[in-house]
Amino acid sequence: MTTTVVRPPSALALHEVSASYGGRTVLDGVSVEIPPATLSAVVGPNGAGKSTMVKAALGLVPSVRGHVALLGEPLRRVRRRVAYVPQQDSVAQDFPITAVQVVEMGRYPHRGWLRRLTRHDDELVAAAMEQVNVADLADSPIDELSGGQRQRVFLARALAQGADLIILDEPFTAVDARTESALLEVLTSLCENGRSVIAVHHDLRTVLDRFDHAVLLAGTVIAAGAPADVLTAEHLERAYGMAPLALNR
Amino acid sequence: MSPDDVMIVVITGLLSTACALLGSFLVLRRQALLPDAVSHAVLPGIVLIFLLTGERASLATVLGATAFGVACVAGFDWLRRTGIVGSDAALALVFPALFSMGILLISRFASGAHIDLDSAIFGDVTFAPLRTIEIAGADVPRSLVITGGATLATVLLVTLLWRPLQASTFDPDFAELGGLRGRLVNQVLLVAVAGLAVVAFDSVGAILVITFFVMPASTARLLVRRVGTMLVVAVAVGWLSAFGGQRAAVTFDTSIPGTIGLTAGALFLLALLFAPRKGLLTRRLTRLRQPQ
Amino acid sequence: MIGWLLDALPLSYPDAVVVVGTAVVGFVAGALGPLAVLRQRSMFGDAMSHGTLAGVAVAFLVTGAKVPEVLLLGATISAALAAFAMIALERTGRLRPDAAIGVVLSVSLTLGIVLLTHIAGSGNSEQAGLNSYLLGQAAGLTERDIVLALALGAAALAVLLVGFRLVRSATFDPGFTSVAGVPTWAVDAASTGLLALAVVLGVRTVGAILMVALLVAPVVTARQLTKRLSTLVPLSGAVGAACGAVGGVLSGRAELPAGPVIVLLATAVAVLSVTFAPRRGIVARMRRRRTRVAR
Repeated sequence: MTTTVVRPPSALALHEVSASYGGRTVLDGVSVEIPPATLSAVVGPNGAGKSTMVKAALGLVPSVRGHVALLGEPLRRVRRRVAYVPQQDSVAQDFPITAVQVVEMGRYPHRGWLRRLTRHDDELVAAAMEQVNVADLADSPIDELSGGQRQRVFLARALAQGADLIILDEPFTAVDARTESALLEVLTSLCENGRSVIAVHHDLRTVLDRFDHAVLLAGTVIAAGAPADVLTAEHLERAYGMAPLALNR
Repeated sequence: MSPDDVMIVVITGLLSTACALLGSFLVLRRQALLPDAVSHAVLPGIVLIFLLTGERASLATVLGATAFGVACVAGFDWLRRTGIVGSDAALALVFPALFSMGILLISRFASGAHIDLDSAIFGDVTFAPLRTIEIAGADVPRSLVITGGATLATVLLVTLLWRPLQASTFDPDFAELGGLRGRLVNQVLLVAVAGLAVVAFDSVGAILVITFFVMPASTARLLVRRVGTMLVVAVAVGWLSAFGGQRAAVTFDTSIPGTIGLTAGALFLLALLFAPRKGLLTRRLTRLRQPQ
Repeated sequence: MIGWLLDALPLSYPDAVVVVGTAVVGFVAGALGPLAVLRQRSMFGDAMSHGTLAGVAVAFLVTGAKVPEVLLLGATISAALAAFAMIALERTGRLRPDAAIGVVLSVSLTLGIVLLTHIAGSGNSEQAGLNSYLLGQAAGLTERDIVLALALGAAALAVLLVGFRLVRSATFDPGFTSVAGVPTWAVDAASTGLLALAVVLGVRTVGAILMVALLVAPVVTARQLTKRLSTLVPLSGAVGAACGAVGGVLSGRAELPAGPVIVLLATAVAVLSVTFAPRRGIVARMRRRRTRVAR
């Protein structure tokens, strides 16, 4: 898993993307380019369209207009190379499934409906679980795991998929601080190996400290670039209506 | 057990197998009530085919009924997607309307036609072994052929769609993104449910449709850790209910669908109270056994 | 007691009885429907109405005769029991609401069938017609039924009025009620009891299978037109009453069973409202989206 990948022009590029949800416009002409091999955050107030933006990019929202490129290609050509870690509440929490079965799902995009998983697949699954420290939970049912453990399992699924771009939607809600830090470390090392990671996030503190790149969203893009340049008082006031207290050092 | 008794157990058992397989996915997708709605919504289809052809139990009947079952599912899905009506209210709007059309058609045009509503709803599995068709020179109960075929088709379908069904039930966004065609599989599942509900309705009546789709799956969910095991346990619960119910009906001389439903209910209650991990009394019992 | 009203209507006496009866039932169901629909418990009504069968059968077995009030009491108790069973199953946290409803529906219906089969086999000549509870029979309504429906309906609405603020907070914010000193389970129990009453009043008229539509369709219609619960309840009641009355007249004229006609009418009104309502309707939404694109 330490092979470096050929650098695409950008991890994610949106051009004039608009999306509405239940009769309400959530994204209004969003254009943004997120560089490859970076740990990037999409931040903004509630209802800013953060989740909608990544879901629209992944073709998971109906009625989207505009142009999207992932890893420099249209979605249909890079499905296997893009992994998505959804918000926890969009997953059926009471589904009877064990941790290792969840991680095995990461190999489904490569094996399709019917082809058996190979020994190589099994090795990738085991290595991914090792990497995020959940190997000992392999046979635990998912509904008996803590929020942090569950999030590790879902990241392991993305790792087992061997994706070049990993997109996470609010990965650190209901996750303990230690897990958050550990997961960020794994994500950072992925980026060092040339993979791209984009996370929808709301804790501006961690974005400043740990992320390489940030996109500030409020229906449309307020600012994008290095976190320190994006999360300025002026930008935040435009996005949130007032500067969040946590950043006033 | 007489040969007819065995035949009834086999027919209901086969049907419960198919229903338990699809029902497990419906329960996990929170659509457990869909088959019940479908089994009511098919009535106008059955009546219309009767008015057109004079047949009450032909292939055309099954097709006509399935068409209305699919219409019910499609109407429900459309209302739900508008986001204006909750999915529970959407279901409660669609199926009574279709059922009403069926009743009106009967009372208007077919009142003398012996479309026996009671037997459609309560089912008349009791006489299923007696209605036979000839296959390769042997008399075989019609219901056995139909339920056998439906069960085989369901097993094939679930095997073929195993990964996309599992993935799209657990994590729909992942299944869609990963190229597993989650939305397509969802539609295939709903059509299969509509078809199977019609077959079940035809063979055992509306009562057992809701019983077979919901009870085994709900019971199994309390007992397992893996979805594969859930399907196996659900099928086993279905056969147990069919067997126990048939025996009880003979013993107490009462309705077979009724006792099958009550047997399934008893099995569910047992699982709810004593299931290894999830039972309501399990923890208390283990504590009693090992006082600390 | 209500003879003057029946005489005042420009209808024959039997028609007038049916129309007033269906209107009353429609109003009560429509006004109490929000208790189910706004809490995402629409299908509760379905399981409760199927649950009435067992209650009717037990009441008949105990008394050996078809006394309407006794059968009604039996039906109410069993509908309420079915509702409590569903709530209890949900609260165990082991089942999702839809599966809980399915389990209760299956068990209560099969129990009803077994009891009715037993009664049918017992040779009691009074038993004929108990089956009509499944499909309903508005034509069989009498003045006595209407008075009973009026009295019970009025009582239910009075309870709803007195407890209105509690119901409102329980509907929109379950956390609040328990803080305010009234436990949620008490509000749950009371509103379930009211629903059971509405179901039982309707079942005689439209039947167990169709009853759920009478609870849900008027609420869906009214919800498209107002957000406020205090407007929603009377409006939904009025829609229910109108569908009941019109359906009653139409079915009488066309010699069709009243239940399906009323249900089709109520559903048609609901679909119209979903499509064309001024702000929340589908057409209004599409128009709004189009203007934005044009901009």
